[in-house]
Amino acid sequence: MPRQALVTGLGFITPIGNTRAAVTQSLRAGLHGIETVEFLNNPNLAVKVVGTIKDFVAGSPNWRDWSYPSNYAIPREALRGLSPHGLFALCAIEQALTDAHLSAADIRNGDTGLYCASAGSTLLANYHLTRLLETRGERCGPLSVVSSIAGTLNFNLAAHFGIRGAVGGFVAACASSSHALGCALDDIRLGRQKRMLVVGAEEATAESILPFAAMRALSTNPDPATASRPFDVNRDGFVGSGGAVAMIIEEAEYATQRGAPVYAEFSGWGQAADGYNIAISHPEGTGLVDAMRRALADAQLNTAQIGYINAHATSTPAGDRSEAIALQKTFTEVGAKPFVSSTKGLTGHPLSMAGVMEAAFCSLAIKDGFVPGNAHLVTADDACAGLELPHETLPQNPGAVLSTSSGFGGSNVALIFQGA
Amino acid sequence: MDSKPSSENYTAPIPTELLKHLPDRVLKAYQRFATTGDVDAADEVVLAIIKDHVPAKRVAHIPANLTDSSTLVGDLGIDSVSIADALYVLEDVFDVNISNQDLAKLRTIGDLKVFLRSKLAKNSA
Repeated sequence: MPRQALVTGLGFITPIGNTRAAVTQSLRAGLHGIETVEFLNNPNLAVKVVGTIKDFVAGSPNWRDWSYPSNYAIPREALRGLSPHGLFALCAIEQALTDAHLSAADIRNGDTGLYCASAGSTLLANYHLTRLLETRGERCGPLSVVSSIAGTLNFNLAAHFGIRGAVGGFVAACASSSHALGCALDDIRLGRQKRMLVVGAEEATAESILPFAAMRALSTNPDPATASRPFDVNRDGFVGSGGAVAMIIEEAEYATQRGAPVYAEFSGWGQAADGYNIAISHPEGTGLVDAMRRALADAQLNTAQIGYINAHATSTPAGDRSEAIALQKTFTEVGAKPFVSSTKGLTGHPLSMAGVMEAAFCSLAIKDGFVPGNAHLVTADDACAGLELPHETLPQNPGAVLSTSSGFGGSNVALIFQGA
Repeated sequence: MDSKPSSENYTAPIPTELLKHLPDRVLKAYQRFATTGDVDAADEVVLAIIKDHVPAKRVAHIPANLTDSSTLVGDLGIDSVSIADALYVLEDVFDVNISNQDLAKLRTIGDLKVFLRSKLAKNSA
């Protein structure tokens, strides 16, 4: 019998909560984590809101200025190489380990791997390179490379947690942490690893978010309560956010033998690219359709068995429309009517971290028996005709769940989870 | 001046800002050095910066009886990343350049103090 994989631990540093309990409460009650912000102290900027990370002060490029909840004990040699999103990721992993009943020693034997997803720290890259250029190459922080480039999460976290299994990073913009999860599942199925830690993280700084305003991709709606409204006819762009989410996946027999707590089975994944545009999803959602069909085939499920879809839908006009068409083609046209929602109405869009965050939400939904609603959705876009878009969270078991992610360059990933 | 970064936009870091997280006595020692050139005070700052870069996972408690012959690697667990980080601070605080060739000769706390004193003497000359 092929090896199965179980979700056994979750850790959250998100705009809607920094604990599993807080996140579950926000998902059930529809409490968003978006706040008003004045980036760069510039009132002229059109972008006025962001999904904020609470209880952390980590906006400075100098780690000595940071503060974080006192339940996380982090030695300074770990802090000095971290970016702000590395700090969030380290805390999310610690939380996930506790949640999975794992000690620090349990993950150091080579059976545990670590896959990470982030775009690196533009805050720190800018800080260090500014000094390098101002001094004409004479001065640059020794930890500048390992704290800022894409890969900073895996460099720092593998060293800090003493990981000796597979370690690597994934860079596919907003599909990154979904790729990380899919490849982690493959490693477990192939018997290469017994356990995988997967973490996605982003910073939600001016440096990480405002460049998307130049692409006209961000909402300029100043109201935190409505700026992120996926699938709504009045949506006008995404709301940037950040934080970190960690998920622990274990081979089923191994997890069962140690009596691990179980959220869900991670039963399949698929990916397919659009081959179409550097930033815009294919208008007919072709890559996403293929990714979902491949995931269903991999999980050996049919469309009627999917009860809930956590959509990538970020609240951009083009992206949500493309995804709605892909969902209609894959599900509606064959008579399947799963519930569909995007939780980004609550969280905003945390870029590389979106995939693992939403996979973790799906795991909570399966474990606790609820279907997240579409926060802030008032009038669905015509493109969503035929899709079941609950406005409020439904107190019912979702059945098998599919979660989508789409990134720049048309990378699409679909992940499937179901009750273990 | 030993170190001459040269761009119109460049603003050198302020030493007391770089030391602000250290005990007050270290800041006072730096100010004593800066105002009077007291090299004993400079030694105190050097030692504090080195101790501040000791990896806690390797050396949980820094020995109280450190001497000039205490070694950076053996006694303080300083690895090559930690020393690079510490030298970066020392260079900014004392406005000196420390080359890779200089670094290769620095084995003990005493080596570092003597080296810094010679650099500071050149700076003030």
